[in-house]
Amino acid sequence: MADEPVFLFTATYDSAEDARADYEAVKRLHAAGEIGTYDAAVITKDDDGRVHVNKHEKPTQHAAWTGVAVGAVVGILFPPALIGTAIVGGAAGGLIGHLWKGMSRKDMREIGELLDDGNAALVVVGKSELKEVLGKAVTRAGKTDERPLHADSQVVEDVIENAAMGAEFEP
Amino acid sequence: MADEPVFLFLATYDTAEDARADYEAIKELHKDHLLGTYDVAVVTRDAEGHVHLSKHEKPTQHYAWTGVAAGAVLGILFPPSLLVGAAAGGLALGVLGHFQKGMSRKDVMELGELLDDGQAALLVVGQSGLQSYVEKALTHARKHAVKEVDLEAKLLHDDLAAASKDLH
Repeated sequence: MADEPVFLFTATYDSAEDARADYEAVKRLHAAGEIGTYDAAVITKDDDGRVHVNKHEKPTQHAAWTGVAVGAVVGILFPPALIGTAIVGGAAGGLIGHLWKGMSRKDMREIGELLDDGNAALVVVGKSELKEVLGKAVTRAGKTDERPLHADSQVVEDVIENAAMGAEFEP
Repeated sequence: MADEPVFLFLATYDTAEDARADYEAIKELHKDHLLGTYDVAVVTRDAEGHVHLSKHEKPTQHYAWTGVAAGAVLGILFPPSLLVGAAAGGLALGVLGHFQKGMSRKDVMELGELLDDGQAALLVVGQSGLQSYVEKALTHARKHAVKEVDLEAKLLHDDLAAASKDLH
């Protein structure tokens, strides 16, 4: 379990509406058990260039998307001055250092440039490769990318589980 | 590009002692007014991967060498949870935002990879003309890189002067 990589799927959009529509499509696949995911969220930018992680689900049940893992990814790719989301400094904080170690500087550059390029994005943190299934589901995306992160899937699972229960977890 | 841009000079070392020796060489150039520098700091990593910024000078009435500009650069290269002590000092300031806007993701990647590679580093934030003096002065460095930041020197000067008041 610990040696299994975590997969990061990113899709960019011209509008937040398009990103949200594809988010709903991914959610249906998650609910149907067709994909295994830790987290998914839509990322938007405001007029000042600040980045927001939009939480859509209430973390009341097991396997809910809390925005914590996506918040950690945003916390790695953007400096604090550009982040307009409380979640990055909260529960996601404990996961940032862990995921950061699992990404190369090249990964950070390429995913960062992808996110810089779009007005909105859909980010999915998966338990396995998602691109084959998601490639068909995200019909409005401009560009898509998927890559493995060399993170400990058990740590990611534990942090998200604890965040869902309202407790912060330091790996 | 900025009319009067800011330059970043990053050198890496096998040991913190080597980095400190070159820091002293830069200090001499600064004293002799041969070099226009906003900030100079030694950067080290501990066994847990935390990034430390060694401030050697006490903040004076002058805005320079407070660790604020160097801390802001580190705030772009590393996530906040890895920065400790003075390295985390520049995070809350607008200085970080200026550097982020003035550097490409490619520059950030290259500087980050260089820093990851060494045990210690010397980070110099300065004006144009920096490179030739610094390259001659740094006799202990293993590798180095220079990046031009698309940031007006006056804007950085003003921000550092304001930050310096907060440090007193």
